[in-house]
Amino acid sequence: MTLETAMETGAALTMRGVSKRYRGSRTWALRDLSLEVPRGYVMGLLGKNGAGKTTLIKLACGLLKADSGDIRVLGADPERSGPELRRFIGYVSEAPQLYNNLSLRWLAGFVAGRFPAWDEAYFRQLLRRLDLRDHLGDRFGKLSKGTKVKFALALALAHRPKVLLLDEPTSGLDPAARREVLSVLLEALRDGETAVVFSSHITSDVEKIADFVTIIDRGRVLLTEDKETLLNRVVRAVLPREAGEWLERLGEEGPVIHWQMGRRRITALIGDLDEFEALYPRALPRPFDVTRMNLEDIFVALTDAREE
Amino acid sequence: MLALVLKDLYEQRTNILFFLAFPALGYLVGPPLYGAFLILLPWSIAIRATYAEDRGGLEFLCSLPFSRNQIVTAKFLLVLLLLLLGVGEVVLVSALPPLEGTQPVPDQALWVMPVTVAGFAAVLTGAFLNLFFRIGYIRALNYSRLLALLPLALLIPQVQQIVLKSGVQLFLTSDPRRLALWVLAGSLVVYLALLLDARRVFGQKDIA
Repeated sequence: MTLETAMETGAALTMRGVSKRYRGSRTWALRDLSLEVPRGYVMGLLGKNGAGKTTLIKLACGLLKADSGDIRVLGADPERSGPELRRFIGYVSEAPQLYNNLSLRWLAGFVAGRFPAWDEAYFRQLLRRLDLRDHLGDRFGKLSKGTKVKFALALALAHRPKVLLLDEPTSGLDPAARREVLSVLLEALRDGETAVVFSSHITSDVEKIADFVTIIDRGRVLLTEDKETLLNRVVRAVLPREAGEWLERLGEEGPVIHWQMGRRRITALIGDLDEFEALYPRALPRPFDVTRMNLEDIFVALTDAREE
Repeated sequence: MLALVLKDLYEQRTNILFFLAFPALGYLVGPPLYGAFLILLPWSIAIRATYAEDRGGLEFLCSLPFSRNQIVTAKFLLVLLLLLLGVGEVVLVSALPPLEGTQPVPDQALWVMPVTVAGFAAVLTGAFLNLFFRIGYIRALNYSRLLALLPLALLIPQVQQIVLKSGVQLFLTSDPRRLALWVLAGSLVVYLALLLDARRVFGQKDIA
């Protein structure tokens, strides 16, 4: 299959059974990881430090080589299709470091020359939108972290990529810069052509822009799901102590992700409320309290549950 | 690839200009300074250029539509270009009429010395670049510093004697032009081998 054919048919990003271990490390950065990001959608990647988010993004960009498994970006292998495929990819690292001695104007010209689809008018618009016009003559090394991230984002967006890989672009930014970056991102995604993989510690950012959410922990996918479904499905329930025996019998296969026995009652994280209600024994006291959770609560509860 | 070489030349423009001023000093002081210049120019610029890559430039380049081979080859081309520039400048300055009170540059020093030293500088800098793409900036710098200290061994009387006894001196005085061409040819072969090896290794490397 040619790169062109692959790119017309494939999903934005597909990973199947991908494992990666860094040289000299005993632990796996990613272990048997599978996920798919459809074209035109935003995948929010959540995970603690060292969970494997950066590794995943760098593998998709072809910066790292997987030990095993299959990776496809727009249907093509990022390792083999290298430079041709990267014409359709935008990448922003966690702390963008370009060349400190070069001015933004020079860097923009250098990057523009690499992308046939570079849209200069759109780039100018992004510079205006991100308050970067006055910095064009400045050297990259003189910029603040926020300005560096904004400039890297403008470079990554100006060639209208089909896949945008963003590794914690909002971490370490002040609230105003974060809001600016997110709003530019949302505007850029309006055409529905660009798929985004967006990793972050800041769950509210992911909640704001993601269509799908993947939570990874210690290199494995804990959950990957449509954000709305996830927010509707996962709840916290407060149950009577009498339910403890039944919960133990239910085991890990049931709709209960995790539960904790308190002095008077049980707090449980329910993965599927409908299934839970259908299974809940009639003999046990009702009603029980159910609380909807935001993405941060779900993320913390899921990763904590795994640790226990 | 040309874009990558131009990027390095532009980024290092101040440093390159600084080093290009050395032969003017050499004109006043004499040929030994030309030799130091020809070693320092490519070596120092390569070190500074790879420092910028080590600080995040390499990750940035690898995320753009450049192949790994292009990135490696561009660095080796940059060094060759700097050497050509350096040798050209030294030959040009050496050909100028000597200043009053200074020794005229011997005929053979016009191109024999620059070409021989350029061969050594190419191998030294090629080895540094190869190590950079293989094991990273800091370790490459440490190893190549050790390599750069090798000529200083000639200052040790015992080593001087060995070198003299080995007959190199005889060869130098009998036909220095032939020796210079052999050194150059050998250096270029080693340089090419270092480039090919760096391309092979870097193609498989993680940009972490």
